[in-house]
Amino acid sequence: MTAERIYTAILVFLGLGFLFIALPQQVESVGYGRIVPATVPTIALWVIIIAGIVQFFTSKECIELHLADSFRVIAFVAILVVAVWLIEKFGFEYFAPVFALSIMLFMGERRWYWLLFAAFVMPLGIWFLVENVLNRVLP
Amino acid sequence: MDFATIIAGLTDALTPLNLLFVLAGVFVGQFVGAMPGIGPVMAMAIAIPFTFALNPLPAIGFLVGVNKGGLIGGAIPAILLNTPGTPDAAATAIDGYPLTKQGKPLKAMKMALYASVTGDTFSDIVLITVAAPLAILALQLGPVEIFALMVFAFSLISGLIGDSISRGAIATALGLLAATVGLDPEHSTPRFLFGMFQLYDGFPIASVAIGSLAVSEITLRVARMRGKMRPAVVIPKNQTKDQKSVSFAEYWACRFVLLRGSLIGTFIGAVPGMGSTAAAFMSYASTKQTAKDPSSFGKGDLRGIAATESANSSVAGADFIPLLTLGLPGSASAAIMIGAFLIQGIQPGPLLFEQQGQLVYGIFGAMIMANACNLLCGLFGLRLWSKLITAPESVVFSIALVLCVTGVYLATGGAFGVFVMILFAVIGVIMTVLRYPLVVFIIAFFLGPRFELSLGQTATILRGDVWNLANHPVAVVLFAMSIFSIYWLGIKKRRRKASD
Amino acid sequence: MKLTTLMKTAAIATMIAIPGAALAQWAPSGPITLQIGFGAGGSTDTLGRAIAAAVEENTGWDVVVENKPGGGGVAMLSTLVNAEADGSKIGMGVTVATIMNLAMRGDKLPFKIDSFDHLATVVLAPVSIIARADAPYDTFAEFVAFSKENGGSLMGFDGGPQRLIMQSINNTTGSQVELVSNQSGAEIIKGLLGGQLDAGFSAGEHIQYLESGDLKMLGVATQSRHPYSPDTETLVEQGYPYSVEPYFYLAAPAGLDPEAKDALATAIDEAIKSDALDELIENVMQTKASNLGPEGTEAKLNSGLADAFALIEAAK
Repeated sequence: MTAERIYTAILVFLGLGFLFIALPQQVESVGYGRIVPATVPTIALWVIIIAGIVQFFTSKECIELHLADSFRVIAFVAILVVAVWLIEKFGFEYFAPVFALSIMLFMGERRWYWLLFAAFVMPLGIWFLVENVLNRVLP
Repeated sequence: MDFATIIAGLTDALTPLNLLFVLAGVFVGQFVGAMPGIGPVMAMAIAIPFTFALNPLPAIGFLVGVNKGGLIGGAIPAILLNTPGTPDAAATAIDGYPLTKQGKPLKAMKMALYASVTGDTFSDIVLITVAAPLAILALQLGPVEIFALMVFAFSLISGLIGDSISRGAIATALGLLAATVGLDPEHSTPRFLFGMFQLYDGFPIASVAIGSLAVSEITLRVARMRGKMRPAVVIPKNQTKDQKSVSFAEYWACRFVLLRGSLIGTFIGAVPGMGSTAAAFMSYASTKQTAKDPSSFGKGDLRGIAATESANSSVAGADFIPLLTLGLPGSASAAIMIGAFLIQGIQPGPLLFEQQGQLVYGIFGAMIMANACNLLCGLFGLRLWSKLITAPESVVFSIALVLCVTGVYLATGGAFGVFVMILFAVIGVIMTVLRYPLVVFIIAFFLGPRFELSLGQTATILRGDVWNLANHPVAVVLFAMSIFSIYWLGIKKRRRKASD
Repeated sequence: MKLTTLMKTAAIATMIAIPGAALAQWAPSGPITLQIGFGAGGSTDTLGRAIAAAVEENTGWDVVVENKPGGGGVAMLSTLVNAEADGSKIGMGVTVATIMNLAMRGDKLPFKIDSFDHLATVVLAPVSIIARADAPYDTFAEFVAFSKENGGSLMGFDGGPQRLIMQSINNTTGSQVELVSNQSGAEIIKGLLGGQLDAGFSAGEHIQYLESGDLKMLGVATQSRHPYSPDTETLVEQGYPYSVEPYFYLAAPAGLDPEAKDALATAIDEAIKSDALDELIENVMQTKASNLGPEGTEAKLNSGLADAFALIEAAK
């Protein structure tokens, strides 16, 4: 079984799960009208399932995943989520610089003048501009 | 409408004060529109409170400037960083970013600028000269015809799905499925909320566009980055003129592409309900499919940029046709524009040309002036961007990310929208890695709600009976054209390719 | 805290310090946030921002406007209900949207009508039923009869209550009207002018088309007739006991200090009565402002909810 087949199989099972479990719970049934709320989602899910099954048997696509890159994607997304949570909780002006700094360090930037510029000058500049010039609310 | 009013209106637009506001608008639009994560629509939303205190003509002129400047600004991050902030710009990135990688970002941006100004001017001239008859024509296209037009658009765009039909079908269906989250357009019942009332209006558009197009690209680039810090864009020194600019011969070679793009954009803009994304991709797909060498697209073909930018910019002018005659917005920026009209005490509709003739022609004058300003401001601004972008990748990407977070927070009114942005960034990364066509997913998502609404309207108007289509000959022709284009552009080409 | 707020607070503080000059019993301790339950650029947003500007001008308070779109105000109300009741957060929505959500799926929502202290209504949207000027019917009753004879006419609507009203009328009269969903009144008017629809609902967009002679009014869907067309009868007068009354309204989380509530309601009332708002409402809705006051707003919501339950029954 190739990686391609495994991913396609996962997709088909997700499609089936959505169609038979999530859809009945999450979409209301309506007794009138020419199309009902479930019409379009049902069509979309059947397309996914059928195309997925066809692809499972016919596709010769070769998917390669680099383990190191995958870990870096996961770490990067984790930084994003935590940073946004902290910004929401404690305020943009305190954690946006931390956010920018951690991303730059993650990318491997070590030159202090660039760090100073992109992690402090820019985020605080944006904050000042949005809050005081544009009069919009940031967390 | 007498001639004196028209002249009076057009000259109003030429007073130094009004010109200044138009120029300021273009400048703000180009600059803010070019910020990754902010984009042209956000530029309009930010600009609108500043117009409250102005008189109607400078206020609308300023916003027209922001709108038109934003169209050019939006193409800049797409070309330079492959991080489009709007789905239209995603089509620009297909050929714009490869040119940047070849060290020719300035050339790509200039083509985008010229194509954008060309399309814009074309549709403005159409608006000024034949708005009234075109509006009457557009009225004849009802929900059934618009639904058929949408099917036709999808059939053209299906030429972009790449080599695997199953992957294209899955990406389309996923986009449609994501678009069904939230209240359904027919019965207003909530779908797929999973207990999150913030999803009532569906996934916020800004979160999806910026997440899946811009943040996912940044994520992938960061993940693949190793070792030494490089500039975000490398522009070789001692470039020849040919590598830095677009010659007249190159522009002229694109004349039919530009004309087709402008026609598609103007038509789509005059018929509200489809939007500039459909226009941009219809123009790109038809240009690619009718070219003698379709394989050169996606590798930095100037025609790809010309097709996209001329189409999405010409929508902006033609959007004013339903906006002025019916008060019906054809796009997000047109909706903001209507708010500005109302605040200024101007009611778009059947009486507008009679009661406010001079003002309307003043706005038309401002639109033409905005195009000229766009060209001037653009030639200066593009150089500036191509300098700024040579900063290290780490700096450019971290600033871009902070801007994406800020922009989405402001556009969606809370951290929830930012988390949705991150979710779609992850979806974008997974789809790219597994080689599903992300662009197709985005188009399906953006056209999805309108598609479903049109489907419901059509089913009701036909009373559930397909044979009633006989009363809608235009729709029948469009459906036939869709089938033909799928056969011609898809199956036949594929066969020919296989036999080669 | 923002710099402008600091400066304003300082200015107010000096004003209060001058003996005898201070009249304000209650003033917010910081900026007031006005949350709009709809997106930027719509009529709620336009009205809300104008009210905020007028309140700022009249009182010197700092009012910050935020858009919290989602589900016709549900997303905004769901967060507002958990905010502190100190007068620093108020919300703006549309009564009918709130009522319909409470009536259809109130058990799933984190708020009820009494979760809020209601402050004011701004204006009543002039909902009407319209048709092309050359249509072979002049009143809503004639349209119903026409639809019945011709096997079902097409009617455009853009909101839940409108649909329920027509379903109820279909049930009682057998008129078989087919309902076409639309996104806005402007879109319905496009359908009427283009001949794709036979009749439709509109909330003010139609008035200038009456003047231009393209459209005519078949009936009024609110409870009383509209001043711009005094001869058009309401649905109730034409024998159909239904109405829909969408008011734009403002509310704060329940439990406000009475003095604060009073000060806020007065400030908003002054803003609604200001010339700037008067002109804007004339432009946006083509009608006059109508503030029912705190008690009136709450009463309107309560009676509206009872009507909505009855309507849902009748539409079944």
